[in-house]
Amino acid sequence: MMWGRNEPVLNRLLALASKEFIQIRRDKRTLAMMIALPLLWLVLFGYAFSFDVKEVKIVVIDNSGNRIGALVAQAFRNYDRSRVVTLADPSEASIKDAMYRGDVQMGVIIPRGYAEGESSPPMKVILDGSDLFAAQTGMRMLQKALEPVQDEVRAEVQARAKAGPALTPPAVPQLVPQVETLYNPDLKSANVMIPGLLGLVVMFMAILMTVLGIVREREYGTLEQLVVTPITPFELILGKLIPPFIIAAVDFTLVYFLGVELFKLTFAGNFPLFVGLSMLLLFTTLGLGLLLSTVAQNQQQAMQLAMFTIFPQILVSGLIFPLTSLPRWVQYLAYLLPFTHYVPIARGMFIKGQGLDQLLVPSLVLVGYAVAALGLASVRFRKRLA
Amino acid sequence: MDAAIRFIDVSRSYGAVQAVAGINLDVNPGEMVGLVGPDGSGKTTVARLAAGVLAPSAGRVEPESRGRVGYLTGRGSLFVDLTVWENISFFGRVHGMSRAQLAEEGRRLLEWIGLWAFRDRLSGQLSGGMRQKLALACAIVHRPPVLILDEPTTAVDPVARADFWELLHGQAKEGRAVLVTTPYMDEAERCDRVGLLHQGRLLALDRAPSLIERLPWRMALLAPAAVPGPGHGASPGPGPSRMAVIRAAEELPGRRWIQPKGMGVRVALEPGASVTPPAGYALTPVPASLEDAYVWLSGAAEEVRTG
Repeated sequence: MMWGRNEPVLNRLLALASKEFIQIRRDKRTLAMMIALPLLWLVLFGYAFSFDVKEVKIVVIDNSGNRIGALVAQAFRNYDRSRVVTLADPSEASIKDAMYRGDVQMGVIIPRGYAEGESSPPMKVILDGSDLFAAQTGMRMLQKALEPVQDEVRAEVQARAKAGPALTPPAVPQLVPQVETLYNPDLKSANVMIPGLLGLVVMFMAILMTVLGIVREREYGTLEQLVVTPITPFELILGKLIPPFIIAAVDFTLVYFLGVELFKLTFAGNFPLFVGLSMLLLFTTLGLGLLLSTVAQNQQQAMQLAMFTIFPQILVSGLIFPLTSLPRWVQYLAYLLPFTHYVPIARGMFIKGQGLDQLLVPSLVLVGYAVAALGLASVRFRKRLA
Repeated sequence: MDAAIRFIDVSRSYGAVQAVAGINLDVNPGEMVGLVGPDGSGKTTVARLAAGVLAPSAGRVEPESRGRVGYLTGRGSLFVDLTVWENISFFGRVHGMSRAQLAEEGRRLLEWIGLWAFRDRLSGQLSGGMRQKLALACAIVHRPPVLILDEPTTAVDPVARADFWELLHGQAKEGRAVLVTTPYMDEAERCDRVGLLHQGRLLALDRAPSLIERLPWRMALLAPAAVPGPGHGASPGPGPSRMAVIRAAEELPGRRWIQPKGMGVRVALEPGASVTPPAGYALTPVPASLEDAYVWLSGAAEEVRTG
């Protein structure tokens, strides 16, 4: 008179998954972490990892004695990121001196006779390379600040040419180098960081939830209980992976929409494809979590192993430091890690709108990793059960 | 009658460590079999093999146990972060019970163990005894023909323990095959048959009285004789030291082994041995216990004498 011997698989899966969700709901600390951590990272990666400097301390010395020089000097002083510093003795030496003390990040010296003819002396710009990001902002400022002056000078010269008896068209002094920045014209770091962060959030949540969920049951002895029930090992794996999958998906959505909103990003590529490729990373990570759960003896070990799996991926994946800046052997190592293949996918699709044809190799690598990780983990997990 | 659980020459090792070897064991429907032995004797391994949590390294466990056993351990079989009701309903649902079946059977079981009023309480907040009763209810909610319990009362106080055993007896009466492991002889004696486990081997499997009858020795208790005190009846007085009592027991003619117990010493004597105590001592015959039988069958007597 046993009850329900051949009831549908779905019922058992539902029972298992809903149990997991009740447990997650009761675990307020973990729940808070799952919401707060992605948001914290979003802010960190969007703002704190920002390579954009709000203000550059600048000294402008105008020795030109002409109108163009004065316009250029004015343009630098009025630029919205400039904070003008005045020196008692305006000279190149005193700029370098102030820079040494850290009082000045950028110096501009406009020489006598600037822009007055073919052989007129060039403007001199001094930057503090030890303050890398300020120096980069200063470089960008050169162009941005000079553009309006260039326009004004051109208009003025043309006006003069019309008025006067023009024999030859007067030369317009070229003040600005011509620079074109593709894809991320404002060079916003959020544009580069947020796509990779999406993968990071997915990985972190999926691996932690998976490994902790399983190891906790082993520690409490309830895993044995589940093995005794009609739940098959396959159902058990599925039931244990569904909640981390959903949580990772929720966090992905959260970070995506908040990131786009907060940092005014635009997604350039094919969004469904991006979601699909991100799922490959998710599957790989679920497999890794399952694999770790067969090794970890208790929750503390589970946590350590999860961190050990995630952190190298953050550091060497190219998310923060360019891959090419790493030593050769670290690069080889980096290419063994799944996340390294996700970062170019995320950036390529997000910023450049790349498609599968450009991203075929990393996509195939991720497919391979997902299949291998899930397959290997399932085999090991089943073995560990019996 | 077909056995509900049958072990045929079952061995199991963990790596190089042989946990149990050559186990032959039957449990029939309606029968409660107890396995008793100290820590490390292989009780938990046998229970896990019977429940199908472990696969045997050699031999066979029949029949296939998945889905047809209720299994509960003293280590914790419940989800402590689920409520009483959520626990029982989870186990019912994974066994394919419908909501209607669950509503009826779940309520009946919770009323039976007296937890219906506490159905919304987290099971982690229950006392040890209550928790094990709930674990029992969860283990039988799907009405399995086999019930396996691994040291179910380790974290349970004595009163609740007696309660729990009452419930267990009821399970066997309902026709279930019950296999229970315990480190306590008194618990084992309450079973229909008792298996004595020693270092991974089943020494004997029989009714407790039959096991006790196998003991060829007579048991007696040697204690300092009560000295009549001045006007106050018997009082222990200073008497001989503990060491002296043990020495006196060792020198008894025909003694097989001795086992210090409280102020006295439990001794096993050859059937023909004299029962005259040395001066200043009393030698009282006592009935043999299951523990005496275990000591004899396990050959642990040598250890007991020196210990």
